[in-house]
Amino acid sequence: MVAITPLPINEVLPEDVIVEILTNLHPDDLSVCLEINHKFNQLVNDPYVKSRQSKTLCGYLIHNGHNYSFLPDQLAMKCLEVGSSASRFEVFDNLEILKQRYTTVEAVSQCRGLVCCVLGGYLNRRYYVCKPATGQCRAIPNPKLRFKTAATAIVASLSGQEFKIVRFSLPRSGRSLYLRCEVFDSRAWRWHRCNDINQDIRFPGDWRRDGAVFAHGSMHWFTQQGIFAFNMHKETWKLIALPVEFKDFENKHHTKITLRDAKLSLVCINHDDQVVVRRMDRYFEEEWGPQEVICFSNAQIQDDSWLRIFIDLIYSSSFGPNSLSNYKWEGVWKDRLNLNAKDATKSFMGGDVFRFQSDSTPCKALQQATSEL
Amino acid sequence: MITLTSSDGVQFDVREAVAKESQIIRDMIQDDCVITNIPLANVNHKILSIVLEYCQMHVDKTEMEVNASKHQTTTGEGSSSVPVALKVSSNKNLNDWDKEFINVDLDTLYDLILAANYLNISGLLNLTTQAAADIIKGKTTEEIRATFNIKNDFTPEEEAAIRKENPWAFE
Repeated sequence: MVAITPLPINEVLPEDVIVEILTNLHPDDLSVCLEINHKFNQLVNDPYVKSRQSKTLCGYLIHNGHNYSFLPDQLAMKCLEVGSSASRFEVFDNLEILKQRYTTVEAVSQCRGLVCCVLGGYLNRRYYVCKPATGQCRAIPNPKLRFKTAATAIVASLSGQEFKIVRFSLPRSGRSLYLRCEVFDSRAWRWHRCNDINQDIRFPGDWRRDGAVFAHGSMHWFTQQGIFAFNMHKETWKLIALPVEFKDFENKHHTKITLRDAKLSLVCINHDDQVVVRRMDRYFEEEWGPQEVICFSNAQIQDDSWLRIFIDLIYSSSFGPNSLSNYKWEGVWKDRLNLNAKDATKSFMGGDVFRFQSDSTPCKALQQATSEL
Repeated sequence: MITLTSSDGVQFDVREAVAKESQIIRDMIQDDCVITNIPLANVNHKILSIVLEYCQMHVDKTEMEVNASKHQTTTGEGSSSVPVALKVSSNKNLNDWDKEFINVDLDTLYDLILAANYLNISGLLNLTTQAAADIIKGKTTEEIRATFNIKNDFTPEEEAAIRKENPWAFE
């Protein structure tokens, strides 16, 4: 069989027609198209292609669990979409488990909208993974519950069909000089144990709300010892040293890690109420880029990429509540997010907040037994 | 009747309704109703005949539906179930017909996309771009390059960098 070589598509068809073809593609296929060549890479990143894709949600997931409210009607999960024009809430009421009083959200995947949650109090705890955008929910085996959780993270695979969960736990004895590490892989559908972490890593006390960041294949947590990075593929870890000015302990209360231009970044508020950002320009060499300083009270907040960093700072546990009463930022809530400070407090302080991005394609790994509840 | 002339000089006589499937011809006819011969400089006779086949089929089906619904309103409530069933089946037939229609080789598909784009026939443009997207679906980067004869102009370093940047990747 001799295949006739067709003419090169990018010489035959004009750009706007190729864009038209790309708008028919699923996000999985689009991410493959990124790697074809320069032209396609540029076309896939065209905002028009992104806007025409299958329904996606991008914003913050807010879960009002039993920690925050005993009123049944307040137990809910919703997504605050932060858009370029206005923000709006999308409420997920399709999953019973998220409306249960004793459900705690352990972790949310940064992409693909997977949620790892635990149902139950101290007794009869049960781990679940669900995807609110599709209404899928499936029980997964429990990890070793007799060890107290130190931190959990969930990551969806490139295709969005599989996922991995990593859980660090503290041994029972007080001499907590090591962390136990377990990984759940949806392809094997079981937990396996990884090497213990024999170093004194202290995760933030309220790690659920202190936004872990996934970048370059690793999950990152901000700890007092530096940025703890766990590679989800190789299942290895490392500590990334902080830039000198961030080592100052005074600053650390207000420091967070976030993503800027898809790169791991540090943000903190300095004493003059300015926001200092350091982006890690070269991740594998661990090189930090130059320091950027901005003041959120001025017009810079009009830029969407700064708005996200602003919100990332706001929902940080140690910093958030104080900043809301700061009159200087009232305008941001009002003009950019269409929320008044009171609603903003209710939204962001009323529950667990996670960065959230989800498509509406069912996840294959969750399909076998939807709603085992 | 309207005469459409392809780029290689072949003339096609079609009903006005069929020609009007194309937005560009619709605009021309509305601007000046004396036009009866329209030269199409960018479409050859082979592609034009395929495009007209598509337009003819869709116009016929739409007219059939309109007739069916007229029939429904004139005969009264009693027999309303029959035309509805007919409508559903004709829609289904049309989708099947489209699927069969678009089963062409890649070069013809390109030409059809270009013709649909030039003549501004939205139904045909959707159908053909969806067909092209279906070809991409589920393929690896390497397979897409081979299928569409696309040169990889990334250096190995750039390629590795893009893989790393791809925010969803963990494997």
